Amino acid sequence: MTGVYDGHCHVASSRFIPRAFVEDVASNVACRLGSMGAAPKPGRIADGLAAQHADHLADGLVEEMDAAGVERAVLLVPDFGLRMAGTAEPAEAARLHHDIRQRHPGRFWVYIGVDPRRGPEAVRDFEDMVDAYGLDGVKLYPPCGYSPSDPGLYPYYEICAARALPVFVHTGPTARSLDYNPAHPMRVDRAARDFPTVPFVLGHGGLTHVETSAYLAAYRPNVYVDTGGFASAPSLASWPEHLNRLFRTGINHKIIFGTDWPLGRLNGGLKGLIAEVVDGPTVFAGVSRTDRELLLRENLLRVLAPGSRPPV
Amino acid sequence: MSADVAELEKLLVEWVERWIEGESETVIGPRTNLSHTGLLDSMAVVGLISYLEEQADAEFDFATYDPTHGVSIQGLIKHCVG
Repeated sequence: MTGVYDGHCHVASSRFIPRAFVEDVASNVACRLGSMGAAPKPGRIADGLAAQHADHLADGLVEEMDAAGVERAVLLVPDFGLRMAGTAEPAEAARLHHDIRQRHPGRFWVYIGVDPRRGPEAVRDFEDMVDAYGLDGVKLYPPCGYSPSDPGLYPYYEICAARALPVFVHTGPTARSLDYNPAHPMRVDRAARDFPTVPFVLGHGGLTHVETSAYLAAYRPNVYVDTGGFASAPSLASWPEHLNRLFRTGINHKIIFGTDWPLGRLNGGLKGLIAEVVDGPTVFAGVSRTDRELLLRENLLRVLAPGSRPPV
Repeated sequence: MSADVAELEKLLVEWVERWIEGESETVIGPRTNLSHTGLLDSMAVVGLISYLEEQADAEFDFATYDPTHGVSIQGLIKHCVG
């Protein structure tokens, strides 16, 4: 097999990840460390995490991809703007990601964030951005306060249907100050049924609400499950064992491998992570070679528009 | 190696041993790769670094730290206090 495709990455940059989000993450870290009698001040943790968000041009990410054997990755660009201040607005974020792609040709797909509350003008802007930058998909962050089946998103889905673009939807818990109810995977179901030709990828669906995500993927032909964040999920005692169980549930044709980099970067980076997945004794135990190919490359290619797929 | 660094290494080894609570058979030492062996997740590494900052009375520069070749107690101390 040639290089791995990572279906879930972010540019580790304060331009795209708000300080408030980092502070929320830091508070959870402090909570866990506190239970072990080892809690530093949340502000110091937040400073430490924020300091790791200076890879504005994705040079560090590409270096890690090269070391790990990751050929290409999806860059997800959530639109936090209506809930958390301080990051680039969607048009600026799209331009900056275009620059990153120009800097690292052939290494990234980009899914741009949208929010149904931004109104009809934002839909036109989105279409313009897709044309201008050749964007590869849509990223939704429902914890910002909307359902992925919100009618305000349907104009975006019509564009996606016309251009065969996938929609990546965050599901499950996240930063403490955001909403969890709209992030339940069942919230995707109505949209997935109304737009049967649009692929919907349930972000983190392989980690949280796994049973629901798995049956949606099994029974809705256009629903897929992502594994992003597997190495950092606080509720998983052993992620290799969890992934191995997931990969033996009969939906390997619908699971897209993703890491959610830079999450967990301090734990050794992509190289160690990918090595454990690909060459470790646990993750692919009992999983066929064909299924590995689907999980690590082919399923992602199948959700991408033909024009987004690399030349063979 | 200065006595201070040796003392820091000892304290950090003890911190890691407390964290894993005997659940790993790996013998922890200053050069043990704490990430690639799966001993500490990223949250625990943050805790370990904070403990190091506290004990060394120095600030750890996260922006310039490169964990891609593994995380060891010796490497963390070197990055933090030189």
